[in-house]
Amino acid sequence: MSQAKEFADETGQEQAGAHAAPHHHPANLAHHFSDMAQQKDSAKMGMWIFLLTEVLLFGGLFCAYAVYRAWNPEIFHNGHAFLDVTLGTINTIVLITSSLTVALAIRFLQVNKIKLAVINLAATIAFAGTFMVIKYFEYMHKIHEGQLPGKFYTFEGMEGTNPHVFFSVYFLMTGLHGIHVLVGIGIITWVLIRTIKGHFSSEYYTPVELTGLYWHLVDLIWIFLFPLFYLVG
Amino acid sequence: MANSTHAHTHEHAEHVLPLRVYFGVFAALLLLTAVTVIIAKFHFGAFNLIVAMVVAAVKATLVALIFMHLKYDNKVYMLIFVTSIVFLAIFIIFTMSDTMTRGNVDPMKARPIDPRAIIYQNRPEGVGLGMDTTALTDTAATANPTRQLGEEPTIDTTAVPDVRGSDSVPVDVAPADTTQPQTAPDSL
Repeated sequence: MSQAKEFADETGQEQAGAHAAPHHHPANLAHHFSDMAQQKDSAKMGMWIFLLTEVLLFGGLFCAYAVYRAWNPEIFHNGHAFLDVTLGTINTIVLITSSLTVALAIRFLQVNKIKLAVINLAATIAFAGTFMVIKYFEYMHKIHEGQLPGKFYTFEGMEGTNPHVFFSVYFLMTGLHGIHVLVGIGIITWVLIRTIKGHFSSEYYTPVELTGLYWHLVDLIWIFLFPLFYLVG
Repeated sequence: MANSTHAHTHEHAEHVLPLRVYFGVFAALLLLTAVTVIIAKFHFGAFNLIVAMVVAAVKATLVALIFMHLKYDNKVYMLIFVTSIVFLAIFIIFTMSDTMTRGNVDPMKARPIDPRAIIYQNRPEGVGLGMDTTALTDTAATANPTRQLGEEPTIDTTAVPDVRGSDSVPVDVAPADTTQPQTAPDSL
């Protein structure tokens, strides 16, 4: 403990010397960072590395999509006709709008407009919820029809060899994406509560920014899922 | 190392984008969504896929550069993100270069997934498979309806899904004789 204290004192003095100003220690600055900018850079870099792993996680499924589609062009063509383009388009617009609101929330925190940030975060949660409700109705319809993966596939109205493969890939990819949306709702709710409590301001809003990065990635993945499943047959 | 206070204010001045930028990107994303939906209504074959992916890539780039601030932030984040895309591309290209070229060197006898696979057990013969099962006179569903999970079906183990994208109806491969007792495949 005393060593850490000494180190802190030393670096503090060093900084004070370099800046020729009294060293002040922001409340949100962890002791192992020299300043807020460095702390924020580190956090964002960590987040981007996490997003890299997310790209690779979904990448495995995109690769599966590519392989199965190349092997079974017929069932991917026939299968996409069973997806509701209208619902898919609405969900795309909903998710793009939620991306806008979360970006705006961060932008308003940057200029200390906490109330507007809260409104935009709440709107993001509402849009995310809307997305899941629509997805729920889509899923229920498919479950009812028996358009399910693997051995659960009982639908009889689709031409092509091994039609269940299309729905296996569909449910895996949209399912993993849906889980990400649910996780996102949880995290955005958490930063919303913290914003309401006044934890964030233009000085410190890193958690909201990282949440925004996560949410944009969820949006990015949907931007590719939507045409691949709903549009391109 | 000039000083962090200056860097901090400078950073803020740089990062706060005017609202019109956000709404502009939003409008562009909506427009591109409309474009991709409308184009999908016309059938241009492979062209559809290319257009849809190009539009999606443009949308993704807009989100990443503006909404995710990659354009304005430390370029290390850009490097990390681009790295993930590059490795994803390597992953998909190398996988496809295998799966799309199987059989190019030696002829391959391709046939669909065995119609006696477990997933087909509980359905009436041939129904909904979209598969010409008339060629397969004697499927396990009828010959051996009691086959249990884990029990080895008599499958030609050289059988692989048709990778050449044609209608995967078996042509030159006779169905395995399922009237035989369940034995280990002898075709290896």
